[in-house]
Amino acid sequence: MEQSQQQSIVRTIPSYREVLKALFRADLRTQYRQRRAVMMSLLVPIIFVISWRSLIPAIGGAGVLSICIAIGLPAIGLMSYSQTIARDRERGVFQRLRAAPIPTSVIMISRILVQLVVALFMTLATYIVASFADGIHLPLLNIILMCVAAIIGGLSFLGLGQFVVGTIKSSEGVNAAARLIYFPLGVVGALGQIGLFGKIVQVIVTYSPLGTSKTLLAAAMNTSTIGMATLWALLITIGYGVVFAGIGIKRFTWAVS
Amino acid sequence: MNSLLEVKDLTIQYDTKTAVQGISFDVRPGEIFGLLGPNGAGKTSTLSAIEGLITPKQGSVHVVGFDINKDQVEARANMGLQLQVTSFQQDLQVQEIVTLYASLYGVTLSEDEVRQKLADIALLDEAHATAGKLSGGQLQRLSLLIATVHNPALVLLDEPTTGLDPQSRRKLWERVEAMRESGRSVLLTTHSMEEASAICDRVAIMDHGKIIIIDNPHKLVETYKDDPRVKVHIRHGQATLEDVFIGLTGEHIRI
Repeated sequence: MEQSQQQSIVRTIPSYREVLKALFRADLRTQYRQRRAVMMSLLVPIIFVISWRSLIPAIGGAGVLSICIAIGLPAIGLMSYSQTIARDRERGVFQRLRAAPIPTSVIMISRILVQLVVALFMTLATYIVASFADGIHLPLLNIILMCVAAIIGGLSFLGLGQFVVGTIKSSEGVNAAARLIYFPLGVVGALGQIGLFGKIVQVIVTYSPLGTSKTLLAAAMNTSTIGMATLWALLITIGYGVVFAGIGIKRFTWAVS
Repeated sequence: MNSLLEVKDLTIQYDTKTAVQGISFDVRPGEIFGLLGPNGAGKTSTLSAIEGLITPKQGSVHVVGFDINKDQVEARANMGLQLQVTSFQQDLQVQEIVTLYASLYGVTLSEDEVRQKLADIALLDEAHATAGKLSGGQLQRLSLLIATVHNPALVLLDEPTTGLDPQSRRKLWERVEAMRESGRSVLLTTHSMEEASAICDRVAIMDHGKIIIIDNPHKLVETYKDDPRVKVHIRHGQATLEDVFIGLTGEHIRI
């Protein structure tokens, strides 16, 4: 027994970095094999960016591109993140992972990193389509800033996704709630931004998670427009993320019976 | 001789319902220990507390000397487990699952080592199949491989043979017995008295969150075969562990 105990004590416990690397690789593979969710988040902004070409003279290339990318972000938080978390929780995937000698935070960080990769992929893909279809071209610095803005906006929607999966336990419930939130947020947000539903809706949309993300993206694409409105948009975006994620994490359960 | 698993005065409560009431037992080196009990007896709750997935209201669990609530990472590193609901990522391939869980336990496996391990459990042909495509028996075998991939001192098996055909069940028993031969300890829960009699060195019979008795299954039969509570349930002339179990826990069906 002493020998056995000694062997156990010297057993290698993997570092946080090693565990994160292994989980991230596995989660990325899983995401790749569930391409439908990624296609959903890609398809909507690409359709908008092609069909809104005629709006460029009115609101500018950055205006169109920023709205289109902002529409793709809620799909990542609501349609992809929250639903994969709800489904894996119901199947007991998290219970199995939690029983391994790893910090539980690394399980979620890996999932979030994968979704941020998807957000970056969606942002760059939308930009590439916009550059070919609409002739929108940005300098490298603005492309980098646009990616940073997409990550910040993406985090706030991941916070919203966490809120949904934290407050609703069943995967069917999460699926329904995500769709119910996504469509008004995405469609009203996109069309409301260009004033289609009147002034009041436009103001509400401006301060919604989608609106503040759009403001950040637009500022990143055209740095000369950065001002107080951008700062407010940044603070509000972070605020949404912190509040939603905070409630979602507090109410989250790793298993459903 | 020290125990690999020590459960002392464990009490588990869910809101107002007490699932486990002050149970104590230990699992010794090289021992297969069975936790038996009707549905709702508290077996899975006990296992969950040992795994550190739930925090007990009272009592302690030590795995190889490590307190599961204070030294969680060290305690978990020294045990392997097979959950009742086999729950791997559905879109990962079998070989990817083995590599992933080996990494989570600090074990680096080459591609050849993974293939060898899969060949040992007759899953080499399914190496590139996703977990969602495996049958129940294949998932159980994979789950057992994952439970032992880091060569732990203690292995927890939650109803490991549920849903398996007789051939697969026999194979699994052989694997569990091989673990004992290699010096590991096994704690398993089961509803199969045949299984408990066949492979367990000691069993604990639980009911209503309490342990009624702990002993060697054959000794239990010897001790209780003439007990009036057991005698009335003997069906084929000779007392079995199942007769003792029903005699001690009652014949009414639990939900």
